[in-house]
Amino acid sequence: MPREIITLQLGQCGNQIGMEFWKQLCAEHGISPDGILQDSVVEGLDRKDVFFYQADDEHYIPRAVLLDLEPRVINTIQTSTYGKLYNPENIYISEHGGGAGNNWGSGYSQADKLSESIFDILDREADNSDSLEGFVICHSISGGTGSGVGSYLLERIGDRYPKTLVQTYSVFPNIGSLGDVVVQPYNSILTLKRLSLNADSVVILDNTALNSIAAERLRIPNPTFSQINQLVSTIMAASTSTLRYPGYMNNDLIGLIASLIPTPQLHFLMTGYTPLTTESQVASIRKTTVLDVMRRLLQPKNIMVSTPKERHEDIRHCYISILNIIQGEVDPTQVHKSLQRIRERKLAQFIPWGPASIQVALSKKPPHMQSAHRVSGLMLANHTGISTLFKTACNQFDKLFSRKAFVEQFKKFEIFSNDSELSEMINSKEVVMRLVEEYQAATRPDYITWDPSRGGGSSSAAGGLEKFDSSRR
Amino acid sequence: MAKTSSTRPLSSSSSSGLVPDLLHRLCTNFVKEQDQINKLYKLCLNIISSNVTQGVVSDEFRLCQRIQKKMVLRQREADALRFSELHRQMKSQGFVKDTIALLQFFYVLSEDGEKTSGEIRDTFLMESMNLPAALLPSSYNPKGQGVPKKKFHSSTPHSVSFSSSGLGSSWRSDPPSTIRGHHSTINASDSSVMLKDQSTSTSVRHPPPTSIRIPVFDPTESELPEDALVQDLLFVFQGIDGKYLSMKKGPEGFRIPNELMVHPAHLEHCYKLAELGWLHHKIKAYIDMRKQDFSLGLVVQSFLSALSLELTEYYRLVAVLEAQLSADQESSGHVTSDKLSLRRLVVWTREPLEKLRTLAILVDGCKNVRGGALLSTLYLYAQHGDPEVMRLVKHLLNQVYRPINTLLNAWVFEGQLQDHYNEFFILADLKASDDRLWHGKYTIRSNMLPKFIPESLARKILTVGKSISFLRQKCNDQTELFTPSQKNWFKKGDCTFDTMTGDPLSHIINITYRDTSKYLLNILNTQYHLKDHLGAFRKYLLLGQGDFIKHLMDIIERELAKPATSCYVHNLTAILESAIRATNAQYDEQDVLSRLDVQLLDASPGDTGWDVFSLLYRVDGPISTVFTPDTMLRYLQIFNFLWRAKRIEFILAGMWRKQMNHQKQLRNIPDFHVCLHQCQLITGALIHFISQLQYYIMFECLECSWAELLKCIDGAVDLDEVITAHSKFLDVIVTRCLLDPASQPLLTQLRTLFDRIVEYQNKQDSMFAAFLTETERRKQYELTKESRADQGLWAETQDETEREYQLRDEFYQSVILDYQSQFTILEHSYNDTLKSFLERVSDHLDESLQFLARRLDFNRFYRGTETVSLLM
Repeated sequence: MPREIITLQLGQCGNQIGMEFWKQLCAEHGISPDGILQDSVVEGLDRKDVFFYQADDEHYIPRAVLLDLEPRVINTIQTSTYGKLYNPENIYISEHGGGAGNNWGSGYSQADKLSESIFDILDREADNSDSLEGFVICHSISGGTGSGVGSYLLERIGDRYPKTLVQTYSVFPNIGSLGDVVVQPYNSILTLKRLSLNADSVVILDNTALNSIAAERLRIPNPTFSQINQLVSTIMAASTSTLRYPGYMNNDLIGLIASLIPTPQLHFLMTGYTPLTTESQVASIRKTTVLDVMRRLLQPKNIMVSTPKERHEDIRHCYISILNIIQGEVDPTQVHKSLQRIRERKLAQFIPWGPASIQVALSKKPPHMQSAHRVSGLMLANHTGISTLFKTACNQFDKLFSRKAFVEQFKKFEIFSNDSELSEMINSKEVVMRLVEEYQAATRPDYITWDPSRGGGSSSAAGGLEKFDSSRR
Repeated sequence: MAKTSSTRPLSSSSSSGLVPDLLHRLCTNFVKEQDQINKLYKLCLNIISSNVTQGVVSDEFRLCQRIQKKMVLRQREADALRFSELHRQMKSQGFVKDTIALLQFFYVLSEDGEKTSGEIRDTFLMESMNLPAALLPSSYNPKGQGVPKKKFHSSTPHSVSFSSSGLGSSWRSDPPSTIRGHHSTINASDSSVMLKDQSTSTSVRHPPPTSIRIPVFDPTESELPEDALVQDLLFVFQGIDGKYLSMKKGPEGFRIPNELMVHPAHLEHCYKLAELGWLHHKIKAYIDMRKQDFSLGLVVQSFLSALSLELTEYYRLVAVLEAQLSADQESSGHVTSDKLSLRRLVVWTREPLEKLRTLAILVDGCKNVRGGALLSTLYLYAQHGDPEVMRLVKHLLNQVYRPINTLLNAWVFEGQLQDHYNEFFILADLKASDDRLWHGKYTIRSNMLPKFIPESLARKILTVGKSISFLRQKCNDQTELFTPSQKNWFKKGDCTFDTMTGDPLSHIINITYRDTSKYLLNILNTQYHLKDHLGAFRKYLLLGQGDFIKHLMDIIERELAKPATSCYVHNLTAILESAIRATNAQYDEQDVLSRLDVQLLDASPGDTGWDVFSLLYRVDGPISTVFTPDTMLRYLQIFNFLWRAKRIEFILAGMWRKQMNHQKQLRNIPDFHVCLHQCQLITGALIHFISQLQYYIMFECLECSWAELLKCIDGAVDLDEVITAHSKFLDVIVTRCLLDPASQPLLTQLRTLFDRIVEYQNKQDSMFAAFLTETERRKQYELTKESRADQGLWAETQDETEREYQLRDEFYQSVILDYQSQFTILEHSYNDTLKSFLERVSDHLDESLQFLARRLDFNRFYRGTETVSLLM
């Protein structure tokens, strides 16, 4: 089957959101928790084979690899009603079983040791596909397993499967609750480097924003993980809906993200979703139009990334690209008018250096799903404001690193063993800072002459001599 | 009473022959002196032209009593007895119809005579004195002398009622309408004027009344007797030359030879009556001329038969008159009060005359028409102010309509057209093949469309018959949609020819139209899966089945890259099959999938497979009526455009993928950075262009018009509406995809843009190849250095360093900068084309295309500032 996507669920957080994601997918495709297709489902409307394959007995099995260094979460999954859904061979728990101790170094090192077993599973799964489109990695960047193992796999997958895309759903830590993991800033920066260099597309799920959305928009005072994860799974399902319900456009992952990501570095996407549950009461009173959905998607309160206001006055953050996936019964003639309105009122600020616009994709809603909302919308946006998130991460990193706090915990792992200066950390931070710079450069018209190697917006030098990489010589 | 006053002189003049004469004779019977005669005569005239009888008792018995009483009072018992005897005789013979009027006249006369005060009535006389004074004495005809009193009496009732026409109820017993009708249409040219606005009506030539020769009256000369004239006229009525009156060649009509002496009054009557013969002749000639000519068709035949029927009725009258005449002749010399006089003939033939006049006008008007056109002509004549004429023409119309009704019946219920004489308003093109059954075979023949069937109704009739015929012939559906009783509607419900007020015809047509169309659409939707096929066209030819198209393009790419001449249908078909199997297309109906095929268009030299490849969806049977070859051509046109756009989209996606991959390999060499960045931004702009174009195609072209199409089809009343909606659907797409001739320049620009993209793809590929080779070379160099260092040697000598330095610089100068400038040139030419394209599109008449311009430049990038050159 063409254009398959293999999902990798790494660590506690990755497996939790992964589980919710599969629940959602099963519900949408009418697949029961044990993988059997419900009778009421009509074949031909959806494409289950992108995310599932059929076993010999016709059971649907997710193309998912569950991986953790400690058994707790995966055990929960296996004992849940959906426990029988997954291919047991694809569930891998480290024999060591002690987890990564919230240490990126631990996760990375263990992944290195386990790589053979892990890639055995991946290879098998990849061989099971006709034309593998890509990998989707679900993980958190702040813990140990998700960030460490994730980083390791990101570095390797590109080499091993050069023709595939790697997309991640990366959960960013909640800035407010730093307490439980003190080395979180280190983990984040080290993972961000790999996300920046090795991933093709990163969908950022910002716990800070998710929590505030849960608290403020959904009126849940102390949102639990599963409640947050439900939000995440909704977004993941919606963002893959055009792959699963084929239409004229956006039928493959590459078509979906190519138009969102103009240059390879600027591949961090933020999401917005509407209606969030409290809005459903409003939605039941008035008619939800395409314009309503699109306007709400542009409101910061519906965006799943918290981007604090930039201090510098000279930076005006803007959208590089926007893709709205609208699900439900929509009058296609409304799309035109809505876009017109948004353009006239300049509701969205776009980059000054190239053409950019709001793309609107209509996706069918699964007919057998009873949804309270007539129309729902997901926004995938590439916004320069995301850099503030990285900047915050860098700042937090600096706070610790300037004091060399907790670095000893990392030094004991192989990757840092010959690295007394902790140059890996310094390099990672540089990579992240370059990313921040590029995003900031993308707010300015001279981004077209921006030279990544110099970082500045000045015009490129005429001679080749200066261009020669001095560090190497 | 304006009418009365205006008609009186006429009535007086027309009756001037008989009434005054009789009155005069009457008067001479009573008194001897000329003075008294004149006085009495005046009085009598006065009485009969006034309404004095009104005051008199209208009960016959009481009137008789009163008269007898009066006589007894004057000691004239014998007279009274004789009166009652005479009265009884008169009653028993029954030839005087209006005895009461007669009695009233006498009563008044006797009273007046008593008073001997004719002067009192002088005022009344004024009107009758309008008669030319000279005429009064001259109309006195001594020939009538010695005529028995009885006979004289007998004619008076007519005279009374005649001249008192328009008065009270006293004349009711006589047929006044005839008289009045006569006056109102006495001038034939008047009636033809009324009809003149209908172009076909040419004024009927009537025997010119001016041709009457008024002979110098000479009572001594022997004249033709009235009886002879009557006899003659009866022949003339039938179009046969009489002894005296004969038909002249030419249009003048019947003439009496000048040498014959005819009383002027008689002459006038004769000519008046001869008109009947003339009219009869005209009609008869018309009938006879066409009777044998069957090629004129059934409608003309039925018109002739209807005319014949009318004539038969007329003959019946003539026969009655003849019988009367012969009765008169048998009793000649005998006292007969109802002798057939000229005057009587005039009165009795008044109605037939009107009828024949109307018929003659119709005959003239219908000379050159046949079939439906004849009905139209008749219908126009039926629009007449005179209810009698209208009734007559409508009656004819009803009969003439019958053949059309039969045709209509067969057409509406059976879809059969048995119009052997080309009379029906629906024309079948027998040369048209069955495939064209719906589209070209049947048309409305507007010159045969009866005027009482409006254009809209005719179209419905056409659709009903077509639908039935379509069902029977194309769908092999023999279902009877209507019960036999319903089919009798046509036979029962005679057309009222008044379509404005819901006459039965339009009612029936509306019902059959509605039911038949509904049934046909239902058959097409259920049995022939019209909507499924429409959906299939959308899914496959309009690329709606995205996963299938994507996969097909993936696996067919290698094959289509070959020159067109090396592409073979069987290879492509195999690829198509596997694309179907691998995607959701497999769940489609087998019927739909078996119709899906590939075709290769005619290749020109240099074409690749991409240029000639096309998907094909085969349709046959009834469905092909909706999917005509013309629409198939448009689908093909649209498919080629969409396929091309899709390919460009995939090319760009592939380029983007390459960039992402190579970025990881090439980013370590800063020399490449500017060039790669430039390359990425161009790709980004191109991807933006193509994806916005695709979104535009998806929404503005496909989704919106598809939604509109579905709405139209669900609401369609007949198949024509479906066809129209479908054709409109394609029109909209063709226009919005810039495929119509008017948008040719725009399409050319778009193609240029596409070409630029392909060109750019090739450039980028060669750039990556060059860069990768260079990367590999450098990597080798580094590896050599490392291995030397490992061996404890100098990693590199000064010379080597210099050379490597030089090589890198050379690469930068000759390759990288070259690519940079090439990209810049390409970007410029792309931007120029795009800008001019945007300018033109934003001025396009179609609103959606204007919106394409806004979509492509959503953030006002192209319009806002001139693009900053990448090389400054």
